[in-house]
Amino acid sequence: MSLAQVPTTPPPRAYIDTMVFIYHFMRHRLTPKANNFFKDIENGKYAGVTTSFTIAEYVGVMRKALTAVRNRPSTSTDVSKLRKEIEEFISNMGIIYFDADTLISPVYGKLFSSTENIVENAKHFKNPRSNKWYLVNGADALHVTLAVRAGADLYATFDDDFRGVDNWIKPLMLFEVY
Amino acid sequence: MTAVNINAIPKRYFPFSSIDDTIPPLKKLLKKSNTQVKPSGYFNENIADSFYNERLELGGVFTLRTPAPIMRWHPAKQGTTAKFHGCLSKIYPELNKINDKGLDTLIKNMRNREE
Repeated sequence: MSLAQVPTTPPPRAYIDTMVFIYHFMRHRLTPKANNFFKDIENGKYAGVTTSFTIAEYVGVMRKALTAVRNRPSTSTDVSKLRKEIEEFISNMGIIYFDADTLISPVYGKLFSSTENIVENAKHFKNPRSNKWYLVNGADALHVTLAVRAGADLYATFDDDFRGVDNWIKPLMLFEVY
Repeated sequence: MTAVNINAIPKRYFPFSSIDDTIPPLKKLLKKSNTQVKPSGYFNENIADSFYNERLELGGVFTLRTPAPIMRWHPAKQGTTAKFHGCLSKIYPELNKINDKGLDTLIKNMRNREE
């Protein structure tokens, strides 16, 4: 992108759920959809937002995956490699990166009261195709709180649980958009 | 007067009351002297007074602090999406043994404990 093409105001901020990174870095039926979403970030349609908590979740899932396929514990080298990949990606993509410790500071209000409020008041969603009910849990709601504090406008995810949080942040259901 | 529908309020099992143990107990204070002690603090009945700030009435200007990111937004380096597409499967070819359902389960267990 040349300097003349750089927009003066940043595009809408989309908080990126952990699974979106995982699907993009792995081979899965949802990888093309995650890929198209990141292409949109690359082309300036959205400004990605993430936190150190998301990186922790990503590293946790990938360590489990490596341990499961190798049938032996993952190593510190694995952790370094996994971190390097995601950090380089975040940096090159221009994704806005927050330290989760900063976001949970009491200066910005109570964290768990907000999370509790989301858990108690989020709407249920029934998927008409699977007839299953979906609702955010505590850890999901914590991500919603972090996303709101990070100033995100959208919550980009593949998880139907987040459909009921539109009172706090607009869910961007990547299943439907791509 | 506003009517409150008690049934609409979620039932709370925890009272959310806390005891400030940095304040000496009232009984001890009363035993030591004859002075009258009026309990005060955030949880007394005049809770509105606890939040009164005269600077607001005097036209004081307040700024709301918002969290600052470690890395700010900037235009992406072109080609990054393609470069990292399926990158872990290249670094760790053994991860290709995990099928879609297996990966979905790992992701689901990231926040739930449904095995």
